[in-house]
Amino acid sequence: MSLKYYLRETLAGYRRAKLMGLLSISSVTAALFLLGTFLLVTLNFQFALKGLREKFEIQAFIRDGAPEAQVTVAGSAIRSLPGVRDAAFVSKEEALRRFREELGDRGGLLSAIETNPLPRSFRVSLQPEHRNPESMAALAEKIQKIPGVDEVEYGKAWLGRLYRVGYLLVVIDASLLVIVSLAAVMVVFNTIQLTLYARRQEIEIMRLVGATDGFIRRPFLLEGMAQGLAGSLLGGVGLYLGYRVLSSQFGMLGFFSRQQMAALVLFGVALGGLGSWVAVRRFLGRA
Amino acid sequence: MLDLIHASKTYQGSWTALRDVSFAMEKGEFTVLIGPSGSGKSTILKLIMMQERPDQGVVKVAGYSSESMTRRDIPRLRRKLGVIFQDFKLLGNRTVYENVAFALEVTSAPSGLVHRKSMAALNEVGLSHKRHSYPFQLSGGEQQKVAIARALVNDPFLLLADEPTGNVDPRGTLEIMEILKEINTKGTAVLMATHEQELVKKMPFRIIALEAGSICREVPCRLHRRGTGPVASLMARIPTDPPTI
Ligand SMILES: Nc1ncnc2c1ncn2[C@@H]1O[C@H](COP(=O)(O)OP(=O)(O)O)[C@@H](O)[C@H]1O
Ligand SMILES: [Mg+2]
Repeated sequence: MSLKYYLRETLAGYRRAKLMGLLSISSVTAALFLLGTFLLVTLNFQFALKGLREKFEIQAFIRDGAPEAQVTVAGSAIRSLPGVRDAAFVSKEEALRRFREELGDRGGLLSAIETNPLPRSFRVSLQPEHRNPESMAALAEKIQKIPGVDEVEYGKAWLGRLYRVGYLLVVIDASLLVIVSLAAVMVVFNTIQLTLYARRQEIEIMRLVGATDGFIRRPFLLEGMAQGLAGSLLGGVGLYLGYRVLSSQFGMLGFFSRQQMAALVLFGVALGGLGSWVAVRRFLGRA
Repeated sequence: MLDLIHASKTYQGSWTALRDVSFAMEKGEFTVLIGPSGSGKSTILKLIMMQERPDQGVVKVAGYSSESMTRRDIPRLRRKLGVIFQDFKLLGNRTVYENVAFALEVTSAPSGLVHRKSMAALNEVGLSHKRHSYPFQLSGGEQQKVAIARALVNDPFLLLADEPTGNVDPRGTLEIMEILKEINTKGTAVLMATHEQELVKKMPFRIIALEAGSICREVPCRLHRRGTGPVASLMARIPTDPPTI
């Protein structure tokens, strides 16, 4: 009778499901690769920002005619401000010496200058939690008001820009996380739905003879999770290879720690599990 | 053991498939549901399996009631029932043995028990020699016997048979009926649905006749009656007015 048709249909169902399985895995791979890339950019940016933060300091220049006593008072006033770790006094000679150092080979140019034009200053270093644009702006304003202080300088513009970039990266990461996860879950969902459809007769019989929903659900959940695992492992390998290539081009970059890598893989497994869970729930729900 | 109390079922909110059906079955009984196609026989079996719930009335099976039963109870009930269908519902990519064992495996039974019970069930239907065959290598009658073995493997107290001989040749039909009777003799109740009048005429079992979703006639079991005369005289005694409830 329709035996040939039945066999063909079953086989086709399995083949289709297998192909979809590959699609499922590659979608998780793509999702985690994309997500991982942006997370790595963020990670390295935060790394760099942290390195720069060590250098975050405020320079308070002292009015040229200010008497020695006033300078001392100003120094302790600065040190007593909340958020200030220390204020190191830099004399005119010290400032010049540093300037020469910075110029390096071209330091000879300075011999042409007869008088030292550089003012005395305090280099104000900050407590770690105050090394951000807002705190620094507030502190700079307070320091500015201290008698004897002429001008206050800190990297206002570039500091703000850097922070905006950092913020933007986090926003991109978060939206990417949502979009890419949804896409991966949907592909896994479709795949498992197809597998369920290919095995609907088996499932019908299982229900008739008294298999619990949990028993029926388990292999499909495992399949979805396996697809998630395979996808995220492949994605992880891709990320690592990409990182090695870029590292050899641009010098040392940061990579995920072992725990972060494990979390990424687990996340892939969770995506696969979620996709299949929704599919099986929907499938068993009707009937 | 089985009790339908004023059960009604309407599909898709409009078509009334069953209207106020009441009957009970005792342990070890053999009952035949007869009626033309579309009269509601399958619907009754679905209500008993809790594949469908009645819109009105109650269905009680094995201590479970359609009113209070939860989704989680359904597998527990089904393990106490056996079911066979007109289209056998065997898995084409599994052998005879695997098809039978499947019913136990999916209830997480230990593998030793699965093997023992599956072989015993295949013996009972006389097909243990075909255990390595695939369904497409069997006749319709043999396929139905495999389905019966699968239904028996859980030691059901009630076997539901929906048109079990619908796709089986006359010789196979006789064999299937013999097996069902034998199962019944060993204590399992059987509720069989069929539209084949001829099949029923030769049988002494209790008959419930359906017409358009209602019970129109009921003939009690004639096994212990003295009269073994011609079928015609038996049929004449069928009461045409109110069914016994
Ligand atoms: N799932 C369903 N949806 C809608 N109508 C159905 C469904 N199942 C059965 N019916 C209708 O209910 C009536 C009784 O069907 P059924 O119980 O299968 O009868 P039988 O088994 O006696 O042939 C028929 O008219 C059939 O068309
Ligand atoms: Mg029917």
